[in-house]
Amino acid sequence: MKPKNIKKYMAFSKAGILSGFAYKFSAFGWLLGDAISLMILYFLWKAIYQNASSDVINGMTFEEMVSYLIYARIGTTLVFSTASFWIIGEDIYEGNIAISLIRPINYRYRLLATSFGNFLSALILMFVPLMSLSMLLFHFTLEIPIPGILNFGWFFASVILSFMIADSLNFLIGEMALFTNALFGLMIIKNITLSFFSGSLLPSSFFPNWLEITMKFLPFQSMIETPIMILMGKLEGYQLLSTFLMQFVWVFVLNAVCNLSFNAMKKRVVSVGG
Amino acid sequence: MKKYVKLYPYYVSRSIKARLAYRFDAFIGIFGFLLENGIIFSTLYLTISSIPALNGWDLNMMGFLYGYYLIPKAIDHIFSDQIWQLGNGGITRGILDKYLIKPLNPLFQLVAEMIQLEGFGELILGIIFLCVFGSKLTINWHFSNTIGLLVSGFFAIWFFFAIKLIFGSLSFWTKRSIEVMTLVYDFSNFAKYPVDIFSKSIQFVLTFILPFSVVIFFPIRAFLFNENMWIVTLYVAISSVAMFLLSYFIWTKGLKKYESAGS
Repeated sequence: MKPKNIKKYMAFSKAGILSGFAYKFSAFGWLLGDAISLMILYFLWKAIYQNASSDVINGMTFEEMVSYLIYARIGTTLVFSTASFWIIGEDIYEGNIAISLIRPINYRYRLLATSFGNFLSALILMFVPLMSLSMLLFHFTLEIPIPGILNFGWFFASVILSFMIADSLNFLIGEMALFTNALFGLMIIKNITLSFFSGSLLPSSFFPNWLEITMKFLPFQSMIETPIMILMGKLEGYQLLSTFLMQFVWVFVLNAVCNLSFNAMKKRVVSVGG
Repeated sequence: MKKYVKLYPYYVSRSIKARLAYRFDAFIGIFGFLLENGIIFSTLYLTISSIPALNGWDLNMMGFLYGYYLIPKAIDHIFSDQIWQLGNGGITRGILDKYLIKPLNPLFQLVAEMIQLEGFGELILGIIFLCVFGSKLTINWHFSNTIGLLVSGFFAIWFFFAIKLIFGSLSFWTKRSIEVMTLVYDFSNFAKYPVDIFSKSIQFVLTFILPFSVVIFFPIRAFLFNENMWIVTLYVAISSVAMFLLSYFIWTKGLKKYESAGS
């Protein structure tokens, strides 16, 4: 893209940041609700490790498991901060998409830019405070070492790719608003499947064998499990490289699918003639 | 009273017709809730299958408990989902205006206005779980135990209803309470697990302050471990009735404070 073009899209990112900040209080409200599920997770896993015959279940100790699940939950606020699903869904529902199509910008990249703004506001408002808090908490209560600076560097590189994958998937699911107006139901289906398959509820080593292998060929794991494992220092050298490669491939493939399907969709849009 | 019994079917059929105007949308909603609970349970299933039993509760028992938990919650979800609108800014939008000018109990009108078909997703899954996991367990299907469980389940519906009404009615004072409402409602998730895995303070909250475990978990424990069912049923009845009376009291108090949106 030419520098002039990037500037055009930056305006949308800025708007995304501002809208992210506008809803900060309701975001904190929802987070409070998340605190309950984290509490349940902590006690459930504590009981599970007490009932287990060994200290390590599926390659993870209790400390690793708890930090994985909590990092994953916090990482989710970042990776799934994208608003593309709602923007495209409501644009189709309300017919605004017609106006968007005559504007001289690429609709898909406009949404990506807006979502990137949401990503940045989620980073500042939620991710940084929560992550620092939980890392310090883990360090002093469970004696889990704080990840090194290098791990953080790789993590951020990976999480941006994760975010782009998540945004593409949200965009693709949002396009289904063409067939149904049940955005709320669609959102529930989307959220639960994405969080299960991405490993944000449970690392894939707990999945049954066939599912674990299938997941290796799908983009979901690249969203949460990959960056969190990188953060925890579980991936190194060749493995690290190959997961990054995998993420890159998915970013390009899904982006192409988004553009293709959106072009196909344009021909089907029926809009109120505003 | 007779008036309400006669009117309710009209409200119900109107609401269902309105929803079924968009059949596919209704289906997506029902399927969504079914899938959500199915996946959450699968996560739990995969988690617990890595160990033989959780404090004496094996997979089938946990599944049975999960199924039982879903049913009263689903029934409440189907019949009184409109209460969420109180917390979700409904007071400032003035949604109660239209109820107050009719010669019927406003709470009745609010609740009767919508049948939430999405709750059927949870209900179907709950029944499936009870059948599947119930058949794998060796349960003494005593007549009196089964009746006790049914009665407990019936009271549990009112418990869920009351919790929503209490925290929804807070909006009369705070204008918006959906965050608190969700927070408290999410406490019900604790009831899906044996209460003794939690810390003492949480156990105290779940037994005496927000007695979700009393209402959901205790009946199943009594049922599966052959304890005295009717004592537990009495506890469930007491907590539900107390919670319901409290919620109705807060609702009437709040309604007196209600001001119209004035448009």
